[in-house]
Amino acid sequence: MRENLSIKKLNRIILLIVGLAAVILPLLITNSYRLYFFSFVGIYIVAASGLDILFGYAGMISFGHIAYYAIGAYVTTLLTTYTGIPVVASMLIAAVVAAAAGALVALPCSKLKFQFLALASIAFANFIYQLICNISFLEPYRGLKVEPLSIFGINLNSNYRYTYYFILVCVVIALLAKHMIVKSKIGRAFMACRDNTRSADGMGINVRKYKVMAFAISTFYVGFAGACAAHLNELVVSNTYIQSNAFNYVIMCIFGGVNTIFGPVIGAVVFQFINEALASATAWRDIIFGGVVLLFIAFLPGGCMGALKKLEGKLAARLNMGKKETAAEGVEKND
Amino acid sequence: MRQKRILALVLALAMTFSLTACSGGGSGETTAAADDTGAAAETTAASGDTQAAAEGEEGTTQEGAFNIGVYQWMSGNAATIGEEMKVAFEIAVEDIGGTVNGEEVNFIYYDTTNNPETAVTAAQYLIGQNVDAVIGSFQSSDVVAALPYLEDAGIANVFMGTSGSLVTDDQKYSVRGAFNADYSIPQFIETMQELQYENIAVFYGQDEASIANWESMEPALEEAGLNVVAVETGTESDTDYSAQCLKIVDSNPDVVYVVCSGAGVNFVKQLREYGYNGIVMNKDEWMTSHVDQIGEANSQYLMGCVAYTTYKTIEAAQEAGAREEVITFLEKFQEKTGSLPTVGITYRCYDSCYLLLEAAKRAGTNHDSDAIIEAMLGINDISLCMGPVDFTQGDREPCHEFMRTIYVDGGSKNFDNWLTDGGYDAYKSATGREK
Amino acid sequence: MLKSLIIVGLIMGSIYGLIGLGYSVIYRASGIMNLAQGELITLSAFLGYTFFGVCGLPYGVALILTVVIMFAFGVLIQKGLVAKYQKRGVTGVYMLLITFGLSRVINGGEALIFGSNAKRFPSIFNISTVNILGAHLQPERIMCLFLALISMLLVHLFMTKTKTGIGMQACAMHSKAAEACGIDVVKSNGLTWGLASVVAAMCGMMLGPIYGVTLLLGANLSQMGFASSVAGGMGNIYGAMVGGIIIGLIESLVGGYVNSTWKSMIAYLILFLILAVRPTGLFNEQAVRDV
Repeated sequence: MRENLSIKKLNRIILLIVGLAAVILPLLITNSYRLYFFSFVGIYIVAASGLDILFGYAGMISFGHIAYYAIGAYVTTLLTTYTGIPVVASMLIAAVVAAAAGALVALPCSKLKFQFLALASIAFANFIYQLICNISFLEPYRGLKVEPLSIFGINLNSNYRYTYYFILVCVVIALLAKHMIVKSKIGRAFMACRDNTRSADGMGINVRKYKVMAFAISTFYVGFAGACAAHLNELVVSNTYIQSNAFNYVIMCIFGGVNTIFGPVIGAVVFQFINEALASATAWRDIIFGGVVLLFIAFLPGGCMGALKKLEGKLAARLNMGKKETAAEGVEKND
Repeated sequence: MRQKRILALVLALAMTFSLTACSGGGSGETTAAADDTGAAAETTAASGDTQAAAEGEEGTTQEGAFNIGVYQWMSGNAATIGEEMKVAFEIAVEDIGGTVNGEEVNFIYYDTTNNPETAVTAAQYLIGQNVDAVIGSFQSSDVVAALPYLEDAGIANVFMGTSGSLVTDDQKYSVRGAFNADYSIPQFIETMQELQYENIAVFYGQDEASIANWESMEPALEEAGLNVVAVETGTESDTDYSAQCLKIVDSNPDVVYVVCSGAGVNFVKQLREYGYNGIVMNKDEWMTSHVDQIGEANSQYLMGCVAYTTYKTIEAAQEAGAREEVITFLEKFQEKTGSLPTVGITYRCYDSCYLLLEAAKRAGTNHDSDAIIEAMLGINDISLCMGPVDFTQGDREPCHEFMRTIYVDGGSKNFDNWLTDGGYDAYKSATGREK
Repeated sequence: MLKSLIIVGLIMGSIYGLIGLGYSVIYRASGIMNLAQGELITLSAFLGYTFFGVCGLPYGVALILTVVIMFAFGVLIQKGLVAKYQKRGVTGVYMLLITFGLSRVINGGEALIFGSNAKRFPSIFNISTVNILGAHLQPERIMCLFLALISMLLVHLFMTKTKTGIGMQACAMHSKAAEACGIDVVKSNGLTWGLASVVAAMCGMMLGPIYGVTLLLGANLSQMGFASSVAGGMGNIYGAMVGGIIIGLIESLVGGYVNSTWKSMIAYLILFLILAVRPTGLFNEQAVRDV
């Protein structure tokens, strides 16, 4: 009875274990800060996944996604403060508004070469930040209070365990949706546009349409994340949305690995931990942070996910796990 | 084959456990372990080391110590502020006698990186660390973000922000350890009336503290019957203030009132360049670092109404009539670091820390926030850098006395002395102004 | 007031243009957009402060020293960092991120060495302001205008009339072909960064006296500098100046007639619109793909 454990099966087992760990995590931790920390990691996972759809799959860079994070945050704040819309619905609407904004930006900008696209995204992010600072009823400097995260009337912020589970559900949905998009015709179109726009166009793919779509989907994710963060912190202050914070999402993708489902997950976790570790590093913070970014790009361009996959491959070869099968399966990219 | 399966499973489990250990302090471990993972201050990300907590690594609460959490912007542009803060805390601990209620003092720092969202995380972290008390940021936006969480958690906290909007009636555990910038307003107005100024021009910055201050100043000016001839605004990081300066100079004011983060240094400089050489009333203390940035000539005739300001040397401080407590603090600071503090925030750090330690001493306990706050609010018999501390005036503010200063001829001088010594006449003849 | 605002706009524009020149140079000669240019300016200002302010050397000497050191630093960055990454096959967006990481490291280094307080860069001239048509300007600001013009001219001449300069452009266009033509690509690449660093050095030496030497000096101004080079056409040497003047004028006039807090907002909006509508900038440089 030859039971060849293929890499795919191994991946499934790992996935199951990680999933279980994520679910039982809050039952093991009683430290509310830790739960808050992981809730935020979840939010960043959603945001980084969004950016990954744009960057990893559709090949477009954006250093200005913080603008959509801001749009998501402020729209949901205004909606929940001035209308009676329930929080979750408001977050979704805010995400849609962010997606619309992304589409609007993408319409003219998606045709740009990456450096100019990067600059356009920076300009847009700065513009949104300045706009927020100039609208006084948004109380940009004092901060505007936001309704707490709640679902069906239960205030989730009262116990960060609840927020963790809520965000976990959001993360799972987001990752599943990303997986479906990526595997679908749309996803393939994205990758075609990324790899070679001329041939994509030649094959009949409406490159423009798909680029705008990629933008809109990614900004939907980021907008949702921003809305969630606003409700979690119960406060929106303009300083959170300065353009330089947009680099964080890109860095998360770099740390974790682009073009994978779990890359942004690992990236967000690693990023938050590094941030926390540097919390009392004062002047050394910038140097260490910049240095880590440089090191990752030099030695781990595929991010942690890339490294893990290589490791897995090596292990598989060592253990002779279904050699013939793995060879064939190794050809097609694992997710 | 079965062996391989098992091996694979074990490997998978090992990988996942390392992930979970990274992320949760290990499955099945208690809160203590989870706390340690959060502690990794100097080391790189996450190493659930139980040892660390017991030994009291930097960034964690120590058993049997008075654990004080500190959240503040300490890196980048505020790196020097962070360093001076640590020295100020050291001096405060020494001054109280080294230990409080028999326990050593342990500070746990969290950098808010000029981001209020991070201030929330900082508050969460410190709460999670079960600190006994917290000293809060000099940035009002950080305090606004973090305070609600500290109140909810019932942790005594002293904050260093000076914006008038920070102290509200519903606070039970939060106290200010610095001065309320709005309290200087009556003295500014008095000065204007004393010097018979009628036309006032105003420049305010786009940041929380400045906007709050202008919101208090505007009605005060109106009430006093003063004529506001120009109101301009800008941000600290603007590259050019020509438009604002042109309009202000055109309006021919008797005095210009400036309230902007960073004391509006570059604005003041351009204001001087555009030909306004009269007195500038600045809500912030005019510090030696500001003089460093724009030069002595541009710093001339900058008037402030502050609890304290910085000096270049101890002699200068004595000459300027600085408080005894300030001079003692400066001497100790110089002993430790070889130079004087460059920012006024350092005084706030010393005062806030000392107040907290003193309150704990009077309460007789380091671990009861209610008692500490109660004791704090009863303090009215000591004097710190900010002057006589009096929490019993019913407004939850410690500082009610401000000194008027004016920066003239290379140093900060006492305004009252300057007036009586004929400085104002000298100013009038030097600038050719009538007022 | 209009006249004063226009003068101010021109001067600010020339400052932005001078900064943008640095961005354009690197882009034109290597295709990289350098996000660390702002930090190079800050570093130059700190160096200038050390020589001119602390050591008390005459301005000219401090300037030469700073330029030389920054040139060496630029070449070092190219050889020690950029080239190594390019060897590993890092291109495109990742190169952008490298420059971002580099900017954080430089900034952190400055904070550690110099501290975060502002430093005084003594005035170069004895007069403190000059009055031109109602605009009271620090003479250093006017110097920037001349410096920008001269630099542009020099850089343009260098890049189009000298062998090295033409070689640099060839390397940017196609490095293999350039190598085949006998151009020393390695040296050329190093020179590119050296040149951009020299431009940054001059910016820093000029901006120090105007704004004081702070950690955020480069960061605040470089965004607009970047915008100028794009507005004029990224890579176009004269374009940076023209773009800068346009942005400077818009900022100044908006600040004077509309609302001073709207200045930045409008400037960024204009930049975004330029990129959206006419990314090739005024002088029609390559910025778009084909689809």
